[in-house]
Amino acid sequence: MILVPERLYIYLIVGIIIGLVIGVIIGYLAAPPKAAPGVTTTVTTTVTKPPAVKEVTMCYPTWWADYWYWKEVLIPEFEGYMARQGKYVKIKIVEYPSPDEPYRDKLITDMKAGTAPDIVLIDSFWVPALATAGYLLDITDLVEKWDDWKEFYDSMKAMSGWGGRIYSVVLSTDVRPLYYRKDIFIAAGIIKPGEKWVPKSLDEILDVARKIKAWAEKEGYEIYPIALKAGVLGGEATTMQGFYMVLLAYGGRLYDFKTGKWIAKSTPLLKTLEFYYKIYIEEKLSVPPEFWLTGKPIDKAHELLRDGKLAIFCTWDGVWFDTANPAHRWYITKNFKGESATRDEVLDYTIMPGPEGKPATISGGWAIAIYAKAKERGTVDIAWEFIKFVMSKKAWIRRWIIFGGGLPPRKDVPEDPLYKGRVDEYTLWRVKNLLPYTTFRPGLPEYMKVSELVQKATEKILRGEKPEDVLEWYKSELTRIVGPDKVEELP
Amino acid sequence: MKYRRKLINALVIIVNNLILIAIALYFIAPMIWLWVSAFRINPSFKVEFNNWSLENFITIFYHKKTATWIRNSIIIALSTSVLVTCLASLAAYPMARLEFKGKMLLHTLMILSMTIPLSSVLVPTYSLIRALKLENTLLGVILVCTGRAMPMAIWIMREFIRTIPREIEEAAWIDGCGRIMTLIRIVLPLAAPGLAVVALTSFVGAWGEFLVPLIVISSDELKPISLGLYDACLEHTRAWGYVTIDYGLLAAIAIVYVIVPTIVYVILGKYLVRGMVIGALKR
Amino acid sequence: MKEEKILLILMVPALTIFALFMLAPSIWGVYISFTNEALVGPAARNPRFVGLENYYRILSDRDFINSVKNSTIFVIGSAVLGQNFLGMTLAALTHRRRKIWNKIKYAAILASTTCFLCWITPEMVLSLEWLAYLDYDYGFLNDILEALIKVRINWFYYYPMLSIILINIWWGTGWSMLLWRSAFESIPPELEEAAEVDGCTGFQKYRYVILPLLKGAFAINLILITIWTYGVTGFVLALMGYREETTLMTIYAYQKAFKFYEIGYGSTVCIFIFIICLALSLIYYKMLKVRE
Repeated sequence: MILVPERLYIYLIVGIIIGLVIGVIIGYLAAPPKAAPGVTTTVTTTVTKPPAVKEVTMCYPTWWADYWYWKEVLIPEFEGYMARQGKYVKIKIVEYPSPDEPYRDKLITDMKAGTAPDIVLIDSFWVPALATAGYLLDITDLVEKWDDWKEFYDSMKAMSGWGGRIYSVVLSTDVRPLYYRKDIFIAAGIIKPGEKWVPKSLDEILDVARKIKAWAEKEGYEIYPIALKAGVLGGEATTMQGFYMVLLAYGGRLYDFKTGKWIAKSTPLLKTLEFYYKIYIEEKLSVPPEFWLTGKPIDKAHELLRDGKLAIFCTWDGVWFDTANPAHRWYITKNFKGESATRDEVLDYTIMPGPEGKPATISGGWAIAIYAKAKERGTVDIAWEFIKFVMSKKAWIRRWIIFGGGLPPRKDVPEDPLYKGRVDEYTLWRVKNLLPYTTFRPGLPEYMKVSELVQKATEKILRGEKPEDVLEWYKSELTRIVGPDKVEELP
Repeated sequence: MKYRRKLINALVIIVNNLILIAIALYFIAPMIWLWVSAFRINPSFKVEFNNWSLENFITIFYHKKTATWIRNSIIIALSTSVLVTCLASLAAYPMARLEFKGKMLLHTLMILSMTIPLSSVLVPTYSLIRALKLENTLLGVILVCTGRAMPMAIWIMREFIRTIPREIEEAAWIDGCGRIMTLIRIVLPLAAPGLAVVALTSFVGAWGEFLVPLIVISSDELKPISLGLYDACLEHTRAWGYVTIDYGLLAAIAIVYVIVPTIVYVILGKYLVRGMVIGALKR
Repeated sequence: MKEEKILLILMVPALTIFALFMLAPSIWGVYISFTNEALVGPAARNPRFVGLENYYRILSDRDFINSVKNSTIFVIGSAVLGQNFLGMTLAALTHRRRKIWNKIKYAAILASTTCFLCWITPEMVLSLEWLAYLDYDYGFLNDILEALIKVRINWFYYYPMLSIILINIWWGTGWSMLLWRSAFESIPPELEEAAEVDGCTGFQKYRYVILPLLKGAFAINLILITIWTYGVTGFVLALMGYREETTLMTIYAYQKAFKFYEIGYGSTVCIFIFIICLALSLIYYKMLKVRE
């Protein structure tokens, strides 16, 4: 032991204990730690308090821009609307402040624990996983009695449910177009000024890419004709905006909804892999394969698009707005030659051509649903009224006018003069040309693993493996992941 | 001949020095970025020597995120330390002085449990926390850290109490002191160094905990420094998006984070380490 | 004194927390591994007791076998070979009883102090440090390599296992060094002198006199760091995510439970890790008893 007089140790101990106590007190005073799963705020209306007020809880992802709108406009309006019918209700918001994965984790944990709010906002993609777990209320009967339901796009109805039953209502959605740099296209003679390029097939896209490559080499420009998101680093974006888009263009799918099996082998799958192989390895129409293997490739790819170093790229629809937003890092200020230009002068959007001349695109989007336990709590009626209220045409358009963004899940919205009068060309184009033909990912619990498999497959192509070999590998791995009884092979 | 001997000796010394310096470099090199960047404004991962400033160290107490991390780390570590010190010193007394059935079993159980890493019971611990409704609470983190620090703490206190001669206690009993009073008034103050060691080691242990908060805490306001740094690492390795906190700030808070155990080990250093090593080598 | 037995109450609070938060999870884990508890999917609705189903699944699970392989490579590379021998070398070079200690004093203190400082670095701090150190575009190591041999290496991408082994060696050698140093410094000098008097040369001295004494330390060190290295998870998770090449058993358990929400299955993986650690702990315990 260290030989120091005992007294010193006593002082040391006393001093430490005092220090600890002070520290703890300061710690707690500075900001008391929140021990509850969520902070609740209540919104009350000015309606006179009658004997029984039914309370309904709703979860809200507080990082969304329209939080105040729901809290201070929609909910009071709804409560007033209900009061006029003689029903007195109160909707209490339960805040969920953490975005993305933590939001999902927390919501799922709360649902399992039985403490989740009555109304939940979820990514429509989680519906199958949550529905099969019994967390979401089956609202099929409710929606079928709802007049407005027939106004919803079929694809949106499908996205809201699982196994033939409906579990949610899609709040808004998005699509994926094909972007191209029209300044490069015009300079390369692919299109004339003022024209819009509308490819009819993937072969045509490849053709155009080759032309651009030849032209760029001749003129001495460093331009990559085309790029597709690839590689494991890209994550879900690789699957959704890269692989899936091409697969849909070839008329293929990853999952057969009719038979309930995953597709392990099919011609479209092979052709998709061949497409990747062509652009990355065989004909080198794209960025070098290593591009997708390290660093932040998604950011870099968008920067290439911004700078005119990439001519054709498939990415999500919001990029159109990002490229015109001065605060955003993908803001376009120059054309490919380096001269100053605006986004409208250099960037354009078009469809990814699908089979039978129809566009191919895929959607995601958030949805509103009712927690299964609401039934026991007796809050289903009010929750459902709220959902109908919020998803009515007028309410949707109003929200859209203030906050923009998102495509309507209802067919009658684009016909409405209020919408038509304000909508921008791009959104109208998306609604008319892509939305009716869109589809969605199979949100089964295994999907995440299959998506990873797809990403790894693209990576194998990037490393030079042959498409047929990669497809064989995909088949065996898929069978291993989901089980041999859940796969099928198509011609 | 003598020269030959001298030459070999000199060579041996030089080679030894070189090897040692090479080893030292292996250990030092990765630390350089951290120490340099904390004192720079808006650094990247590159080790450069410009843009010096102490601003980062001031900002970490004002920036909402980093200040919250610091607060949470302090709360967790302090609470664990207080809880462990109090409970372990009480529990160590019977272990040191009394003979009872199962004492050996208990002792064995505690030693064995110390060698099992948390990650081998990670999922069950998570499940347990959820079952106790302690998920996303600082209390949950504190209790798990306390539980895991107990065996070592009890062991240390037991050793310290053992060194206090029984005669002192017996003298107190003769004077009419009850057993518990003796414990509080006489034994514990004499075992004060032990209390200090336990308090400090459990503090440092909880301060550096990462896995426990990882599985318990999900909301941003409750994250301690370790989780904050973890988020930053994750943000960096994503394929898109930019790290939301400047690397200079991160480096500064990492230094604050690492300074605490460093100071403790420097003060207690030799003594603690000797104890741990000898403890590991023989019972 | 009768009072004595009452004093046992003093142990209750400490032991409760200990039992609840340190012992209980092990037993609880066994129970859960026999269920199919999950947070999403059909199993979440009715978690049932499924007996050994998880265990059958796991033994034919290629990802699990891959994780076992990874963990073993990791343990052998970073603990058995890396930390142990580096620690031993460092201790052998820097322990105070060396004859030339005075001449190498500064380098020795430098090396052993920095080694120690690395050992006490919290996991997330070293994650940040190595993230910056091994970075391809800006990392310090690559800057040095570029200056010396004009090559930049993408460590995290092309050499993931090597990277984490290097990091773990950097982190854990401190303990081995301390243990070995204690072992070296406890060799009675009389033994050395006696050997020299008997005419042993340097090497012979080592082989026949010193090494046998060190065998004990060697064995104990090995067991301890093996157990701990099987349990490493933090920095690997932070730097590598769920990459196939570096998915250790602990990472796999975490992934199953927290990414795929399969609590039952994740628990089964934990049980396997637990069994390995327990077996090693028992061996360690046996060794301690033998030494007595």
